[in-house]
Amino acid sequence: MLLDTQANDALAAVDRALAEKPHKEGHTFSAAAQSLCVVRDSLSAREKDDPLRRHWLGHINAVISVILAGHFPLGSVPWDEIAKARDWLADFAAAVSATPDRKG
Amino acid sequence: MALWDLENADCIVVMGSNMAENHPVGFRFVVEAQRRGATVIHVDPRFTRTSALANIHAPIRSGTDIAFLGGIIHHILENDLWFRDFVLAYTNIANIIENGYQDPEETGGVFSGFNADTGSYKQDTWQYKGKIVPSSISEHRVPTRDKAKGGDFEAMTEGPPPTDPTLQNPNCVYQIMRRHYARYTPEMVERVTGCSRDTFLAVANALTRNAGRERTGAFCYAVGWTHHTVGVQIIRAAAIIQGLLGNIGRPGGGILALRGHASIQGSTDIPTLYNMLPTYLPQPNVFNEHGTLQSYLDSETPTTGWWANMPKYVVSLLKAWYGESARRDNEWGYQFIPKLTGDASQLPMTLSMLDGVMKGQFILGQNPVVGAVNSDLVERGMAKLDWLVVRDFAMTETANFWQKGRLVQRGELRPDDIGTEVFFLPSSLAGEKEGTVTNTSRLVQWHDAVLEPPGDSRSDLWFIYHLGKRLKQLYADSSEPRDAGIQALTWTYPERGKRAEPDAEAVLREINGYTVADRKQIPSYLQLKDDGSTACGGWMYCGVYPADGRNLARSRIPDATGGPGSHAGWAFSWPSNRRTLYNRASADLDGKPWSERKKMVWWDEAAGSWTGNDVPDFVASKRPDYRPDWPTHPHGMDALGGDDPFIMEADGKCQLFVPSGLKDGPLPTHYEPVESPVRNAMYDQQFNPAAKLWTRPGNELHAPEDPRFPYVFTTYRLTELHCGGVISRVTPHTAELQPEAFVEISPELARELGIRHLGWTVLSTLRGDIEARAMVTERMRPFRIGDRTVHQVGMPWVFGWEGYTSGDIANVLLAITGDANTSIHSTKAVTCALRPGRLAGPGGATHAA
Repeated sequence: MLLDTQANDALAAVDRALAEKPHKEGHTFSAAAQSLCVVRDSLSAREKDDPLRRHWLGHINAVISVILAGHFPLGSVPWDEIAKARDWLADFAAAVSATPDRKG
Repeated sequence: MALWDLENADCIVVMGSNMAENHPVGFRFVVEAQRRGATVIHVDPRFTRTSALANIHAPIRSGTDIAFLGGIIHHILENDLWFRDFVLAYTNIANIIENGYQDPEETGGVFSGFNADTGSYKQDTWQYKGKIVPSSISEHRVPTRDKAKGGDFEAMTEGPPPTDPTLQNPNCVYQIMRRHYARYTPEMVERVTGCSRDTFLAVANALTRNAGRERTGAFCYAVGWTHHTVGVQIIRAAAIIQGLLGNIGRPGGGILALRGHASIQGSTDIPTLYNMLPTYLPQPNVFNEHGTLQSYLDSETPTTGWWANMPKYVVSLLKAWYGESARRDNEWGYQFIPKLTGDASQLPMTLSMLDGVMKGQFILGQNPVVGAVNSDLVERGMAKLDWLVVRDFAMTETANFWQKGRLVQRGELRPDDIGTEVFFLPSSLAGEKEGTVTNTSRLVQWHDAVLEPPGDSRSDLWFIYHLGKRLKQLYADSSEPRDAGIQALTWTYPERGKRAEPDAEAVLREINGYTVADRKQIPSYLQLKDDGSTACGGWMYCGVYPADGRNLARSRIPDATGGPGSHAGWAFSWPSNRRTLYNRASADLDGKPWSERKKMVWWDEAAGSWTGNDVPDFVASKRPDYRPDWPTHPHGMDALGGDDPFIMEADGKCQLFVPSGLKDGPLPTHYEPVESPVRNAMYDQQFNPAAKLWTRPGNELHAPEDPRFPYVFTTYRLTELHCGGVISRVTPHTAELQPEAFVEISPELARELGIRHLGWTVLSTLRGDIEARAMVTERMRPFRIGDRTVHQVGMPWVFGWEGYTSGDIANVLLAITGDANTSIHSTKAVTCALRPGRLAGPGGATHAA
């Protein structure tokens, strides 16, 4: 699967979480985390000196950390932070889609 | 309290524990107390050896502890049985709470501040009127109000919280508690718990008879209290009782948390927990005001009470960890510490393995396939890892799940399809390594190695130390900011012998602390500073190694006959070798012992200091009649009076009502377990609304009163098989004592279902099915709950497929749910189905009962 497809799948999953704002259920956040991990693993599998890997891997890991905060919150779910993380992910998806082969 | 102090109690309630079987060494002090005339009470669903040795056994349905304890609180309040002089002076019973506070009595079962959309509370309305009360430092901190909106803690320095000593104000804690517990009558206790009114009253009377100036009582509990979604609140309920009866900080008084492993207390102090830095400093969190060291300290440090010293402990910890790399100009290395975003405890980790978030895991001193809840889900998660490292002294179910696991046996997973690379590394046993254990009584005890571990076995200290060395080598040339913490970490422990075993005493010396300039050991945490001149790996342990060559954890000098009874020469108990916390409460307002019989510490007017049979838990020179000089806005201990014994609290008072720090309410409230065969008879709210739930395929929950799962299921340990079981299942001498897994069933239920003693049974939940032989016994009794009979079954969770004795894993049946405050799992009260027969399996098991 192309990286931009993976990224857009993850974005759709995060958007679902933001739209549904699930309460004490694991499906929605679990789906978001799983799709983000697909993106992360694709990036991680690239050569270490691949500029896309260097630039975006930390970025995607940060998004995963915020999604986990929604899945396993300490207190209230940080919806505002999740919305920000969603925008980081959207930036990434747009950047990948803009590359000629949509693989980044 | 110290274990041995139990012998000074006049009444002991063992609840949430089968102490005689699971903590037999400590139980001898219960036996000694009984020999001296104490009443021993066992409150437990089962009749066990603890019950057999008790004066009263009170059976209750699993998961109804708060109803029972709330009934005792009701009994104390309505019959005016509280220790009035103690309570009025030392607790917050007279404090006035904010006008907006609403009780579950008014709202159908939740407190004010509850947000049904998020399932969480805001605590604004629980505060003392006009104050923002910082919670005692812990992992349970919940931001109450934005600092920019006046939510800081300076209000605590402006004057004492408002009180009504007449207790007539309708919003004072006394009146709130009376209303809150009004419905916890003996009749309601019987209806909810199944314990008869008469037995309940016998317990309440025995406990309250043994309170006051001349007498004290103690509670002992274990995971029978903690492993619920309301675990913290069960302990809170006992704390309220002890506060009302004046049973804290006094000889024979207290609440003893019985820890299940040799050093579980130590692994909480110097934590393996995700949310605490050593000795109960909060782990920084991205979503709190923790961006800089200063903002972290500003937002987390209480302005009043002992925890106002927190900056000294944090900076000293950073100096111990990062040495010369911890400088004033880099916030003493604060940014090296990873920040939390969410709950990273064991239950979320299991779910994260399933989601592919986690790629690898180290398992040290754990056997989660047996010991964690929802074992099938644990196996599925581990099957998704890239790598798994298991260290143990014998093969465990966790290490060979890929080969012999339940899911492999059932054909649901194939070893060829599991990509996890498993590394099984042999570890040494206790006698093969040196170091300390910290026990239930906070007693840090050194033990030497008595022989070399065989073959490639190594201590956990060896493993962590050498792993750290390799990580430092790996990241030595990295320019990534995230690797700077590993680069900066001080990791210079001396190595000994051909195996390069790190010097465990060097680690203990670092935990104790030292002066940076001349590396001299520090004798007391009173000498720690926040200017970088001291280093200390855990402030509460300061004093355990107070000078070169003086390892007090090694000391083994008991009191002589007729001595003070604190056994101060026997090892070291944190903090300051103090045996009883808050022992200022053992003296009255004037500093005199409440009675000669129950004296512990007292004010020595001639010497101008506190003295006694224990190390006073107070500012040594603070007079009993000291009062804060409020016009000067006192901070720290200056804001606490000479009669405020509970120094870790911001107001020095025992918190009957908790204004800050709990995620599920300021007062314990009876909720049914998440899975229950009955409706909550007290409130519309069925279960703890703040409980942590993660429903997903494979982790489905049973609805209340689900007719498919009518029985209450509970789990427990056995004397003969220790914890996760491997250590004793591979030892023939202990294995033969418990040769096979079993489920305990009452004769009534056995008759109803056609189950015979030693016949096979199948237990089922939506998480899985297991089989076990039936132990039909009157130790299990049916409960009458309202107009229904509710049956309870119980099963030891210590079996697996490794070792000489084997059996199905009980925790297969359990769901992943968490306590609202601690995320600890629920193992003591779920629902299940039960039938005679066997499971159909790949091997073609029979179906005969």
